[in-house]
Amino acid sequence: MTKKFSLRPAGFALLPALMLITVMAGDASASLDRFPRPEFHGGYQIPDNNFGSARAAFLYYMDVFALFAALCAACWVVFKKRSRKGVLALMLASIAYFGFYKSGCICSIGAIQNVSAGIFTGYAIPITVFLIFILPLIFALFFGRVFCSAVCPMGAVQDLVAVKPKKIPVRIDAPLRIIPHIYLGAAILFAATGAGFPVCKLDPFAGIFRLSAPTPLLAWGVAVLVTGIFVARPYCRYMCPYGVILGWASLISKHRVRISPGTCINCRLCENVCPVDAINQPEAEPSGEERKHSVKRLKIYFALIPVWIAAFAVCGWFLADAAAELHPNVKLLRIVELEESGAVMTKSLESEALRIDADIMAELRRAAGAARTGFRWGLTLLGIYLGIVIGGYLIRQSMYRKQDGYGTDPVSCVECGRCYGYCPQHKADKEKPKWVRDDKSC
Amino acid sequence: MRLDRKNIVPLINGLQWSTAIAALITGILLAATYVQLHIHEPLVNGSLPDFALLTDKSSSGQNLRDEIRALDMLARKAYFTSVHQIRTGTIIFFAAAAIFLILWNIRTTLFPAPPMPPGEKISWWRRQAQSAKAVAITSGAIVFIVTAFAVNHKYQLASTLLNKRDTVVDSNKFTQWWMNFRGPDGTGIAAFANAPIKFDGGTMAGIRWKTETPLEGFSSPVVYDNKIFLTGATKDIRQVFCFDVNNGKLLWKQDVKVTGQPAPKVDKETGYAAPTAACDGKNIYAIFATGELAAFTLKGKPVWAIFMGTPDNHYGHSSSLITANGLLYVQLDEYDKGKLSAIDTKSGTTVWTAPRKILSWASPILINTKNGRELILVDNEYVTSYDPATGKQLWNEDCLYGEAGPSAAFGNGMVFTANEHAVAAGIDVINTGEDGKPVKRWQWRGDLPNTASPVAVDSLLFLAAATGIVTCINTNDGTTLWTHLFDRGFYSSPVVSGKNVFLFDRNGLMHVFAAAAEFELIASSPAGEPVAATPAVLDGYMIVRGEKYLYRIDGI
Repeated sequence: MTKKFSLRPAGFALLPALMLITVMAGDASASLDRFPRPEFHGGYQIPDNNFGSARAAFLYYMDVFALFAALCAACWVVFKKRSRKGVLALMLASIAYFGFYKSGCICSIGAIQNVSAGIFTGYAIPITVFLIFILPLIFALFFGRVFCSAVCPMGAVQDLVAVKPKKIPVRIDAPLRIIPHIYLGAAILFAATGAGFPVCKLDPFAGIFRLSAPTPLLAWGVAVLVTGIFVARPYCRYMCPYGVILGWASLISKHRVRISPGTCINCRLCENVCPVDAINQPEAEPSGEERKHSVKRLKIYFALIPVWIAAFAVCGWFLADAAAELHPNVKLLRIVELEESGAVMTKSLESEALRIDADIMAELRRAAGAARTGFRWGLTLLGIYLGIVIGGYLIRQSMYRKQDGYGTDPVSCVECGRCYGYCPQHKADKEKPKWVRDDKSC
Repeated sequence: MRLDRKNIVPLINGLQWSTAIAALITGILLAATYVQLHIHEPLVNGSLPDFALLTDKSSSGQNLRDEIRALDMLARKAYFTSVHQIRTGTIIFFAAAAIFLILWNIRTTLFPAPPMPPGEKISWWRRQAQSAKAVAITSGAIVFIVTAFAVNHKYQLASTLLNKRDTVVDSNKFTQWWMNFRGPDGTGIAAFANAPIKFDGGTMAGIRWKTETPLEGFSSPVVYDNKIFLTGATKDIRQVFCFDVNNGKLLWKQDVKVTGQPAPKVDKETGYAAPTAACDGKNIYAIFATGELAAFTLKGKPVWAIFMGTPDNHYGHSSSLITANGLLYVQLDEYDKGKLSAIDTKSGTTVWTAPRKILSWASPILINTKNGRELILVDNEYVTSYDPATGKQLWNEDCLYGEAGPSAAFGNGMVFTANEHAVAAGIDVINTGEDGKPVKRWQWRGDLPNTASPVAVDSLLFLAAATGIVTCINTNDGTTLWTHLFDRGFYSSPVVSGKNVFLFDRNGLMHVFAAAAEFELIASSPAGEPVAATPAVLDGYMIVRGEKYLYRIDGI
């Protein structure tokens, strides 16, 4: 029996394959013009095409090494030297290298999507990208969010512009902290279904680091920076999906930032200095009445967890159809359907091309169906996750945590070192805080 | 040297101020240059496009070429200088801002401000309760909003695909306005059922405002986004006007002059501004009897202008425009070199043309069939359907005679034509013949219109003749249901709003009668002057163009 070859499975792989071959062919094919060159009278000579050479492989490993070195340096200045000056110097170095030199790409935040696509779709990711994703997490397991302190160029830029940080009322701050969880879920879902890399598309700092961006993206970046003058690190706190994962890792980290190197004397001088509201205050044990109330509230929240999970899961299930419209295959199929229904008159180039081959149309329908299914289950899972996050948050808020002195919250603290200088015990073995030292001039 | 606050801080402060001022000045200049570049657009605007439109071959000598080159060089120089200024300015701005921030961080790190006295301590329990409450409320809101959005999306998608014969993508946004001759798709059916029934032009009762039209014309008003667009012309001037729908004030007017060709001779009952303009939500498009076609933004900024050639037409060109999906359809029927053109609304370039061999004065309409959208045109002999995307002729039917002024009507799956000295015909475009072509189900002889287009609703077709006779025909079999003789004849086309038909006679008396199988006159209201244009019917009001005035009628 003769086995027939079918081009159907190769339908959608054809274009990427051609692109890959084109890229691999390098200068030989690139030097050919797609269209004949125009001929000018008057002796004008059209210059030859110039193509930049590909980045050398060792430079990618150098990026990984630079990240590792920067993380080590951050640990040293945050934990050993306890120096805000050191953090500031490292921030400038990170902005220069990871920001402007590397144009902000690839970064650990965006690598979430590469890893997700690699896991769910077989998208090939280089080992260097995986290392860029995993190294900050490994460090977070031992030293908390040391990556956020001075290594992440996005965090560093925001830290530099935080000129007049204000305290955000808890009623606003707490709900906003749900957004990074949604963003993380969306980033994984989009990458896993092949819908794209939204974190990169919405990166507010890419345009600034590349000194070039479409106006809306540049405006978005400027808006984040202007907000950052009064709301310290707005992207880190209310958007960053990587911060969520780093927060989880930080929960079990062995070393954490301590405001006071010794025992906290509860002087309250550091109470208002944290720009990201990550200082936990000491609390007296709750009274009998308070404890009674909190137990009651805890029972209600426990009972409500399944309700939250169910509500968000149903939301995710229903939202799937609308969200799937963002997937390129679903979008293309929708255009074709609208054209076939007569609701749209003009025919797009893409749909005309698809109609040439019935097999490719069938493949498009299959791919769009798979994307819709992916979105349905993905959003349902995201809904369940959000239900757990919110339920867990509410329970956490109702439980008393014994704390004697002022300390940092491992999930929220970005280890910027601003609080060190305000602790009277800071570097007790070296010298007094500078504001005390210069009190004559104050 | 020891770092002393007294020495260092003033120095850093001075540098900070300098960089802040530099950043501020650069920022202002940057914004001004950016705005200037986007307003003037030297490569798009200016004199260069005017030169490109010159068709007079006698002036295309070396001097003209040199002048065009010099202008082109000047425009490019202006553009690239601005781009260079923006790039340099951006670098200076960010550099100054970066230095300011670095200095600020250095100062605050070296000399931290003393801590503020701690305020009143909020109870941890209270804080936690507040945040828990906020999170719970926000979560509930998210669940509600997401569910509402998802349900709404599902509903909208279903209505787009299931009611495909009656809906167009994004039509919800547009059908509430009156964006071309005879409203949505040019069929004369208003989206709203609450058109005003009664008013009095003599006492101004039920008329919100009345404003004089700057130039004469028989074109009808089109309305979008609370703006009324109208055209007017004489032999020497062609203009597009925009009025405020709320108070009738003239918002802007623009001249249209694309060619130096002499204006053609036209009949006084056609004039130079008989074709109605069309709007697509972004631009307004207007054509005149001279063959000049122009596009303006809704704020009156010229977008493009082209010369379609002087129409060879003994009464004068009167076919109105219609747009859909980024294309503007121009029916330019002439004696022997007529054409139907689809013009790209963004650039004014021709996407396709289809030849038209027979003269007419009618306007195109759009219909939905099982095969998709079709563009329906009539001429002195045929009703013809075209694919709106490609211009391919889909079918035609020989059912007209004489000089065709009325456009086609569409309803109940049938296309209707009618013209004085010919017949009225009903062509079924849904239940087609074995060859897949539409079938002419019936034809009707009687008093037929010579200008007013027919209108169809449910299984009723209404014809308004210039003799003053209005006829209602059963579209299922082509039989007469009723006729009624009014005092004066009709040039204005009837429009349907809800269960009523609205029709202005030549004296400007608006008759409202039931869109029913039996004649029932509901009201007759005088505008106070002759009316030939077709009214624009909107949500609870209508815009009417009289001989000299424009009216907004809200009704009594």
